[in-house]
Amino acid sequence: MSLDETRPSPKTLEGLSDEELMSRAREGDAAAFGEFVRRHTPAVHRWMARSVGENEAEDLTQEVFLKAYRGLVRFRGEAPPRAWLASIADNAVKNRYRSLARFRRIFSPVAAQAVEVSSGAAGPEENARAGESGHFVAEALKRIPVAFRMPVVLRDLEEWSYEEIALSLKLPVGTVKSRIARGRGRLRAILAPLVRDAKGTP
Amino acid sequence: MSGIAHPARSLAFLSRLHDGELSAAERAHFESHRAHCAECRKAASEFEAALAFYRTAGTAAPPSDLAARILRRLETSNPRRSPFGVVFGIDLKWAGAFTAAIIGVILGFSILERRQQARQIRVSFVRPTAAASRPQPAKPSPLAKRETGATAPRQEPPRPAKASPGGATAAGAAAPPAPAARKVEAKAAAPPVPAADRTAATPTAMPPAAEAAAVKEKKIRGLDEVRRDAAAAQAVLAPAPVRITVTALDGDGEAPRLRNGAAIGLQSRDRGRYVLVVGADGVPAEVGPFEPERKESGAALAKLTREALQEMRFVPGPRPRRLLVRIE
Repeated sequence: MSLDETRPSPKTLEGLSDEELMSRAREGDAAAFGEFVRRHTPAVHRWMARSVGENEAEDLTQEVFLKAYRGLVRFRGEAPPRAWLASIADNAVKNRYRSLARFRRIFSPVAAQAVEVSSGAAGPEENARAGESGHFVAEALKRIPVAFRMPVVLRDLEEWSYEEIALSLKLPVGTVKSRIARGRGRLRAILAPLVRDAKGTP
Repeated sequence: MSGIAHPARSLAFLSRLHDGELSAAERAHFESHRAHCAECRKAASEFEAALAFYRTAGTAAPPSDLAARILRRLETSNPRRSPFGVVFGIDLKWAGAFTAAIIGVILGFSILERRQQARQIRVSFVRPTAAASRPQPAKPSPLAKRETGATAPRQEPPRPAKASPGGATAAGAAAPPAPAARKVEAKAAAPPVPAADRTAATPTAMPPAAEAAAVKEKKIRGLDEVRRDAAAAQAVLAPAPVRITVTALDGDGEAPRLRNGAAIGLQSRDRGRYVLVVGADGVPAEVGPFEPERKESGAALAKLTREALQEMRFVPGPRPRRLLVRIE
C-alpha cells in the first residue's frame, strides 16, 4: 500500500471534508492522509514562507506533515484539522529557531553570520521569483519574535478568526489578540518606511 | 485637548481598529480625534498600509511536486504506519509463512525425538525380561542368577541343616502352616543373617565338620554381605521383586509348597492370577490365566509369563493338584 495510490479514488476523497479525511487516516487509510497532505500543502508552505522565509519553507513544510503523520493518533478532533496543522506549524517554527539559537550560542559569530546569510537574505533568484515586496516582507519577518509569527500569519494572511487561532495555539483569546497586535506593531515599524517610499506619502 | 492622549499610540487600539472591533462610541471619538491629530492619523495609516503590504506581498508558490515529495518521504521515513504493508522490508504475509514453517520444524523435531526416546525405552526394558524368562530350567539366565544371588544368603545357609529331621527349608520352617495357603517370599528384603546365625548357634547338633563349615560360612559371610549389597543394588536396578502366593483350588487340602520361588524369573510385569495344574511330581503340566480378560493382553507377554510359571517346582505329592498362583 502506497500513499501515492490515492489516484484510483481521488474523486471520492476530494469530496470529503478535512474531518472525514482525518478520521479515515486515523484508521490507517493512507490514501486519505495523502489527500489531506495534497489539500494543505500550499497553505502550509505559505505559512512557512511568511514565518521562516522561502528558503526554508519547503523543508519546514515537509517537517510539519511528517509530524502530523506521526501525531495522527493524538489527533482527537477537538480543533479543526487545519487548526491542528497550524499548531504543528507553530511548534515547528519555534523549534527551528530554538535550534538555530542553540547553534549560534555554541558556535562563533562567524558561523552565526553564515547561518544568517544562508537562512535569511534572499538570493537574487528568489527576489525575482517572489518579487520585491516579498523580499521585504521576508526581511521584516526576521525581526518579529518567533511567538508572534504564526499568529500574525493566521490572522493577517489567512484571515482566521481570533477564536480559531486561540483554539489552534491553545492560548486564551486575549493573549492571541495581544500577540497579534504586537506583531502588527513590529510589521508597521519595519514596513512603514518602505510603504512611505513606495507610495510617496508626504 | 485630547485628554486621553493619543489612542493610536496603542497597538491594541490600532489592532482593534483594523479588525473593526471598536465600539461605535470609540470609533466616533477616534474619527474626531484623527481629524486634527497628525500623529494619530499617521500612525493609523502606516499601520493599515503595513498590514496591506504584508497581506498582498507576493509569495512564491510551492513547487508543484512538493506534495508528492512529502508523500514519498512519509512512506520511506515512516513505513510502520501502513497497517498491512511492508515492515522492515519484509512482507507480512511471508513473515507469517516463515514463522509457521519454523514452528512446524520445531514441532516435527520434538515429535521425532519423543518417538526415538520411546523406542529406546522399550528396548532397554524388554531385553532383560526376555532374557530372564526364556532360559531353560537347568541353566538360569543372568537375571535369574542375579535373583538367586539376592536370596542366596537366606536359602543357602540352611542347607547344611537339612539333615535335621525337620527337613524344612528356612522359609517353610519359619512360617506356621497356613490354613489353605503357604506364602513363599521371593523378596530379597527378608533378613538373611538370622538364618546364618541359627546355623552357627546350634553347634551341638552339628558334627565337627559341620562346625568347621559354619565357621567357614561365617568367614564367607563378609563376602556374602558384600554380595548381598550388590544384589540389593541389583534389585533396585532390576524390576521390583514379586510376592508369590499359592492357593489350592481343588479343595484337596493345603497347597503344596513352592520349592524354587526365588529362582523363577517372575517379575512385576507378570502380576496377576494364574491357574496351574501341577503333576504329582510337582512340575506344572498346564498353565493358564485365572482371569479370562488376561488373555487379551499381548500374546508375547503371556508367553513369557507362561514360561516363567512353568519353571515353578512344587513339593511332590500323591496326586496332581490344581493351584491358584497369585503374583503381586
